[in-house]
Amino acid sequence: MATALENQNESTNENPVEDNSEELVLVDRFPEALRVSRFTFFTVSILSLAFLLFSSLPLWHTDIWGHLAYGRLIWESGSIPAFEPLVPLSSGVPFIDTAWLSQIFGFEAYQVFGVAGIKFLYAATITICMGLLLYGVQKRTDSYFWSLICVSGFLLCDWKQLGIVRPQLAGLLCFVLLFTMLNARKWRSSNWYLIPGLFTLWANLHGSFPVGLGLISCFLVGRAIDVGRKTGSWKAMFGDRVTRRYFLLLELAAVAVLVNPYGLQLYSEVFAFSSNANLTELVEWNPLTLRMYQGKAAALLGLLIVIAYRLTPRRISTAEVLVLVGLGTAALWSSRMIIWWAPVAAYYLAIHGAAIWGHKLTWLSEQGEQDEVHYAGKWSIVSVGMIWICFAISPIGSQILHGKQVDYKKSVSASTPIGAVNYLKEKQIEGQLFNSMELGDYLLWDGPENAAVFAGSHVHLLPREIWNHYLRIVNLGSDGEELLERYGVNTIVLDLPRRIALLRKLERDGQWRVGYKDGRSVVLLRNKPIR
Amino acid sequence: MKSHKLSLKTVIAIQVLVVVAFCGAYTLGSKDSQQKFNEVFLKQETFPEINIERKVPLRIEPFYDDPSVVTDEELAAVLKQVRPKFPRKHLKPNHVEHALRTWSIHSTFQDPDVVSGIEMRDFLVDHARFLASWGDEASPLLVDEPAGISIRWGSQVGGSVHHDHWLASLTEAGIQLDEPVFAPSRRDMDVNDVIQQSLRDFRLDEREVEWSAMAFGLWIPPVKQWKTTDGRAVSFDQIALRLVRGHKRFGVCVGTHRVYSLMLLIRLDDQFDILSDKVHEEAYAYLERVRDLISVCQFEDGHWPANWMDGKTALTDPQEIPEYKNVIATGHHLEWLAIAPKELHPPHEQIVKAAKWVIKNTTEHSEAEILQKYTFYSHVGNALALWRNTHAATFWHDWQVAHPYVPEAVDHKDAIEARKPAL
Repeated sequence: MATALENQNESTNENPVEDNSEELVLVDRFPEALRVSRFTFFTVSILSLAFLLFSSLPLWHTDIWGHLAYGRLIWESGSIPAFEPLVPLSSGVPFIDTAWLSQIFGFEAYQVFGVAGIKFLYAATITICMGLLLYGVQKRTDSYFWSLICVSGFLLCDWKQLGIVRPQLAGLLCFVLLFTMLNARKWRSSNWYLIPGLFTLWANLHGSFPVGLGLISCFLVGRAIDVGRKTGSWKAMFGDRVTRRYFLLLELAAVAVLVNPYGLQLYSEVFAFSSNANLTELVEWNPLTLRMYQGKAAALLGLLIVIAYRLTPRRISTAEVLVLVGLGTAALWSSRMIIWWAPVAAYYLAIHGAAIWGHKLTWLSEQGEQDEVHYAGKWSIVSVGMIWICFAISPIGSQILHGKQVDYKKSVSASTPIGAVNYLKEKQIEGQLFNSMELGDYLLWDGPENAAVFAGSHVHLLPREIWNHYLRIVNLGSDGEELLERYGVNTIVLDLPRRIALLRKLERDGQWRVGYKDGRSVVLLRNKPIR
Repeated sequence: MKSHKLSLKTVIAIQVLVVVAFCGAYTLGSKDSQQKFNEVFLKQETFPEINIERKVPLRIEPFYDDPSVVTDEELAAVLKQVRPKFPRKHLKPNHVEHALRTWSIHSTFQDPDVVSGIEMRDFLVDHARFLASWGDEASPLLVDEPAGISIRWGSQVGGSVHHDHWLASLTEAGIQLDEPVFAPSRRDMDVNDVIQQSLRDFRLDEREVEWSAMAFGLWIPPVKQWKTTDGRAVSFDQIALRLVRGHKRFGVCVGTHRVYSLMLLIRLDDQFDILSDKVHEEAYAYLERVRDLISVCQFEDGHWPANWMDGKTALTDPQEIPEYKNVIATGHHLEWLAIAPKELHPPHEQIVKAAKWVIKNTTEHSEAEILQKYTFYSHVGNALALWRNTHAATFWHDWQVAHPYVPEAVDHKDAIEARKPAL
């Protein structure tokens, strides 16, 4: 810190009087503890702009609305229903709500701030994840550049996953936080409380906590193997303090998860979840392929990691190999798992990249950069200014500071069926609907009270037959019309242009007429309603 | 912050905490929680079971004894036509089930060619009897399951055609809960095991739930909710809503079994409160709509058409419908109307007309023709017996006393068991 001050106030003036007076003027009177470096300012700028960017993205039309509907129900009833409560066709299906806390948070944020509240939660979550990764790499490498590489890799690979607003983001935040804590240079005693506490929170926010347990397990096994290889002794492996610490941490985390409304049943539910047969028809639960954007991004990141591992002078721990291979395999198995692999892969790429950079290209060593780090009050001020500006012009900032309500239509994705839902409400449509699964969540949230949604994004809660029938109808099965009659469907809500083929087929059949249509969605009404 | 070395005490304390926490969570957890845990982590299958508190199934008594609908002679003539005069070889389970439903396991016949109730029951509940009829030409009708017996149903040869029809028919036929059921490799099961298996296997959204609804309704009340193997909780409310769901043309026998099953559930609800008030109202409203539809679609000759659900249009814009389908519609409507309160009836003269048409139609056909369409005509016999507040077996038993079987009377004109009525 002193070096920085000296550098900042360096003067070549030979006149001592003038020099003294200038010194008086230029001396940084900002409290030392609050001074930050220009790198901190750049970091803050990046994060603030990221916050602004994610705040400005329209809310994706799936998932979030369904979760808000569940949150509303839980909040209003004061309890979590035992059976699926919103989709009548799923009546009696056990409802283990692994995201009840996120849903309540989300609903409350919506209650207070409207759509701006959700946007704030969304942007803040991703920004914090980015901040943690930046911090983690910065601490490990002292390299601002490689911190940025890490964050870029994370965003590049997870872009598709991050586009959907859902409780999984809360799980991601918990995961990145845990990863950062486990990778910290120094172990803190407070971690004994913080990590189990984190797991308790995680288990109530989202059902992805097993990924965290898996992460600790990788660190445990990896450490044990490293110690075993180094010492060649089993005894040393088990006697190692760090190995034991990971083991106990894993146990405490596993116990902490039990603090949830379902107790042990939460474990059963999340472990059984991925084997739900309905999920096999969803793209995001299918294996990762190069045809997918995220598959290409993962391949690129994976290739860079392989190169980095080939060149790195840094020791490669077994734990990081286990984490990368474990989560990578999971992502190959089910593309949705890439959300956990991306931050880890980006992190290890950055720290090994930084090591290669420092080792091979000493003339461009980051060490030099560190010498030039200046801590100054002006950076603190502009950092705070940056945060303030970005917050002020974000939707929630505008609402809080200027009382300016966000434009609802512009705040949600183009596929959100606002017009269709308004039409359904205006016409007081009742009874069983048939709807694109993608629109189901919004219909649950804002649709007419007496209309029954056919399917939403929680497809694992749909009975197998219902889901099969849904697929047969949307995939233009020959018995589609008969199935619609069997369910007594008099109203169909489809998203456009995705379901244009189904729309044309139904129009051709002559039993349906268009009641409402805009660029986003269409409402079809049966000419002779089934009574 | 300094990292302290963990003491042995701490390590042991954490182990104790972990064991206590997980054991406590397991033991204090609900039964569902424990079952789910065993299922997911210990790969243990669970077989939920409900307690059935009766030894014989419930019976929905008809409301009326109305000779204006069907006289004794007419009833006898119809019942004679629908006697289960099946060849013993390749006995069709579907025919036997329909016959049992009409005639019950208590039926006896002086004519040795006619299969008795006991014989029919044994064919259905004993694999050895099935084997005697089919040999190796059909797969077993009874299928061993880990904790029960299921029935092979579908369109394959020698199978029960409709899901749970085996159970519903035997139930209406008055089988006992502890009646042994002999599957190919298990001899320690009884009807209760079949019911439990059926309750577990039930899928609310499968194509036909009419028979399951009837069977469960006649066995399990006052229990009104149970769990299936996939963990779904099913109730009579859900079944009733499922029965009213969708276009009325869907369902077994041109949608009429949905109506019968609904009527049966409503009657059971009056006795056991198995439906919520809201669902009761909805089901009742459905039956009122059916009443209104059949009130305006009856043809001059008295039959209700197979497209009865089209209401007046069925009459004003008649379709070419095979006669047997009209028999299905008319016979089945008479059946549910026999157990329905008068408020759900179309005008009485319509019921009389329908009965006369179906009696005429049934008695005009030869036994061979009836046998071909036995499943449809069997309902006519049952419906008409219900309208006389009796049962086919009881009525026929008494009838045979006064009108004994004459072996040499080969032509039905000569048979004095039941002469063709003059209509």
